[in-house]
Amino acid sequence: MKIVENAECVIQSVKDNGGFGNRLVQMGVLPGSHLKIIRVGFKGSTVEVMIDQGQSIALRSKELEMLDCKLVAIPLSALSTGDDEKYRIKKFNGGQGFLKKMKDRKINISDIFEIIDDHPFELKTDKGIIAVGRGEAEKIIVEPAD
Amino acid sequence: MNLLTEMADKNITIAICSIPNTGKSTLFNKLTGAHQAVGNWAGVSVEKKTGHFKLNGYNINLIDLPGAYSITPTSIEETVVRDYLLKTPPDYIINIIDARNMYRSLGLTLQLAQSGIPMVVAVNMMDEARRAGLEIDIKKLSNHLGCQVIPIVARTGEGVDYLKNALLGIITDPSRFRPPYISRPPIVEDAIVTLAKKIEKIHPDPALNKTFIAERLLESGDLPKDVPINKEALKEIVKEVKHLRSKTEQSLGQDLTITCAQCRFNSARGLVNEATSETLKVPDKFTNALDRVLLNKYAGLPMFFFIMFLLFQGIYALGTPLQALVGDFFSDIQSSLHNTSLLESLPDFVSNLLIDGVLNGLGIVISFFPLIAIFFIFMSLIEDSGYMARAAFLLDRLMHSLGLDGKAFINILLGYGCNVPAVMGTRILSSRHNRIVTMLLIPFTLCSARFQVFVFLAAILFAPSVAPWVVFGLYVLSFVMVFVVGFILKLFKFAGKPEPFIMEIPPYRVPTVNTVVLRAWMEMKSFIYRASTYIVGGVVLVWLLTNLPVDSQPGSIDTWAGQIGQFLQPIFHPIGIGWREVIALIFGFVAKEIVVGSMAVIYGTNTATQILASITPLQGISFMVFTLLYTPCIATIAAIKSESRSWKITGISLALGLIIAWVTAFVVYQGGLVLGFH
Ligand SMILES: Nc1nc2c(ncn2[C@@H]2O[C@H](COP(=O)(O)OP(=O)(O)OP(=O)(O)O)[C@@H](O)[C@H]2O)c(=O)[nH]1
Ligand SMILES: [Mg+2]
Repeated sequence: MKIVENAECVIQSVKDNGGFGNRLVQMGVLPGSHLKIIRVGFKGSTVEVMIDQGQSIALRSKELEMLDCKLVAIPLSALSTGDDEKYRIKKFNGGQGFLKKMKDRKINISDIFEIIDDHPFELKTDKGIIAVGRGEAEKIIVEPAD
Repeated sequence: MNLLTEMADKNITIAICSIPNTGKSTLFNKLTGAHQAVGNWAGVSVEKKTGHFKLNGYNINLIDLPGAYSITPTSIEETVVRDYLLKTPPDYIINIIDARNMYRSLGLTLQLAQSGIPMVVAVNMMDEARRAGLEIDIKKLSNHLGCQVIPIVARTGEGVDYLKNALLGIITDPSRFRPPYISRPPIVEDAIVTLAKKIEKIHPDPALNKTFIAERLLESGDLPKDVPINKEALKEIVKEVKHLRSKTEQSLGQDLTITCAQCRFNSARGLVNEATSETLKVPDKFTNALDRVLLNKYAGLPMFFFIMFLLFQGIYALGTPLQALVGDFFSDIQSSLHNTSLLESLPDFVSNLLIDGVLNGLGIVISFFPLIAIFFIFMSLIEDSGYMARAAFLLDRLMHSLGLDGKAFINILLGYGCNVPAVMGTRILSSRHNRIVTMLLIPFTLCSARFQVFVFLAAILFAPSVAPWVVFGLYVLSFVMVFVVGFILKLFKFAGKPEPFIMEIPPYRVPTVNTVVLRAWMEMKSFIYRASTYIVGGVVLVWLLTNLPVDSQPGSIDTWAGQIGQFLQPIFHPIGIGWREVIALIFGFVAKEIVVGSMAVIYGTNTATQILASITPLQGISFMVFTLLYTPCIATIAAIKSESRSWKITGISLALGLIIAWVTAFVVYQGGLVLGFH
């Protein structure tokens, strides 16, 4: 999975990778468990992850990347033009003001889009093309729409 | 029946067993009145401890176990738990569930409940759960788990009486306990039943449930260690286990260990959903907000160093005036004793030994009493607040460059208090290799005993405004040397082997006055013990060495001490350490506090002026650097020996310390001379 803050994933399967898998499993992190990256450390090597049941643990991003999991949420800002999948807007990580701004610009939850440009972001939805700023893109959480 | 056997019948062993950081030691202390170390990170307790209390005439031996996520161990502390439970099953178990995070705790609870050992479950941290608005249906939990469930707040003791009643209930009527049901895939269920029947025949320890043993055998690859069956019988079964294991794994397409854990945690999840109002979002707001600052990507690490600096400032500013006060008190006693008739009636040799030897040496050591108390109060604030795990998170990257990880850094940080528990604490690391490397690094941390030597000498040799900076500089040096030595070890292919890093980050907690004061008090007690035993012994020996033979001028080169020092002089001359300090260093090998005591004895009354007259600041610094880095005390060596179970490693640690200390002191001293210091 992509190592960015606010990315979320669901574990698909666990292999005992030199004790890593076993340890996770004994802690209750199993296929079907939901992980959310809540903090990425300096230079990204250590990350803090929240397990669905509310325990926060520190892991290495290398090991996290090797876990077999399915991405279920990621901030738009972590995506780029190369990701030629379709995405769906999942939620807005912002206050009242941000929500209103999104509403005014007709960006809604469940909208499906493709990324045309990522610098700045241009998204193509069925309603047309929307431009989104960097800061905004960090607060827009999306998921792959398959 | 006579009274004696009746009494003997009433001895009962109860083990407290749960996942890490749920309050086992806190509850243990509440029940037994003991003072086990408590801290807000996973892995405070690394060995089992026994305490006692009375419950309606029963003598209870209570065992505090390290935290473990399951009986399938992934580290030494967990191995301690498994070995204990399977080889010497207790009569009863107290299992603790973290109220804020029941799912995580329940995996072990369900596993233990299968064991057949009657159990009472305590739901701890109810205060935090209440504050977060979390409702827990205790009755439902109790029904599902098949045992009594008691909500408690171990910190305050709330509910502990109910827990005692529940224990009493289960002691008098064990039938109140029934193992819960965990649903498993039919093929696993069949395998367990088949195996359980086999085990029934060879009849292992009757305390443990056969189904439980069967599951243990199937789940774990580590057969002989897992189950208390005699070797012969085991051989027969091993084949069967292997067969069943591969059969089920093939059919499920997944490791059996994972399947079994999955079954347990599925039950746990169901139970949590039924018994709680909602799942709580941990970390709480407070933790979140604080971590946004303290674990900030860029500011986090600088902030760590700044916090350490503030702590140092606090300890120094509060502790040194108190130390001076106690020190003055002792020198007053000393000078007033000199003139008492009682002592004058004694032979000179004896009265000198008492006053200039024992009293002078010990007085200076004891004057550090308040400083050490304050030191450990600060230390336990760090330990009990939850910052320890944060420090580990922040330093993980740096430790990774040594092939170690953030958890190893917790041990390094503990070393700054005392090396001995730090060495034992390496049990939280999962590989032996990394434990050894960490153990070799810990002796380079500036422990509280060395701190005393530095405070003592810096105050004499430097101006009051400079002294704290000299001591702080030594802290920095110590920190740097830990990493330098780590890299040196790596050069010699003795680095840690990168291993998976998984560490729980607990919510912040406000440390309780109780824990902090108790912690400081325990350290005080062990300090008094050391002072009254080998520090006195060391000081007396030093006095004898510097005063014998009788016809020599005390403290001169003709004494035995002088001779020894003279003999070693060629080694120490290049680093600017005179024969008197060499004697102090030799005794410092026993305990670092003795260094201070011996200096006082060697230099006699008016120690400070005498020292100032014969040691230059540069020589003083070289001496301090050597003291910082050379071989830790005997207790640390013993801990390294017993934890590594290897004389070779112990030898390497000794040699490493001496060599590094000499080389560094050489560079400092000769470098200083070249630069024109003296
Ligand atoms: N709020 C609250 N905190 C508690 C309670 N009981 C324990 N704690 C805190 O939880 C932390 C862990 O307590 P310990 O007793 O060290 O836990 P442990 O289970 O022995 O931990 P390990 O030995 O590391 O496995 C400490 O910071 C305690 O102060 C409680 O009832 N309420
Ligand atoms: Mg403990």
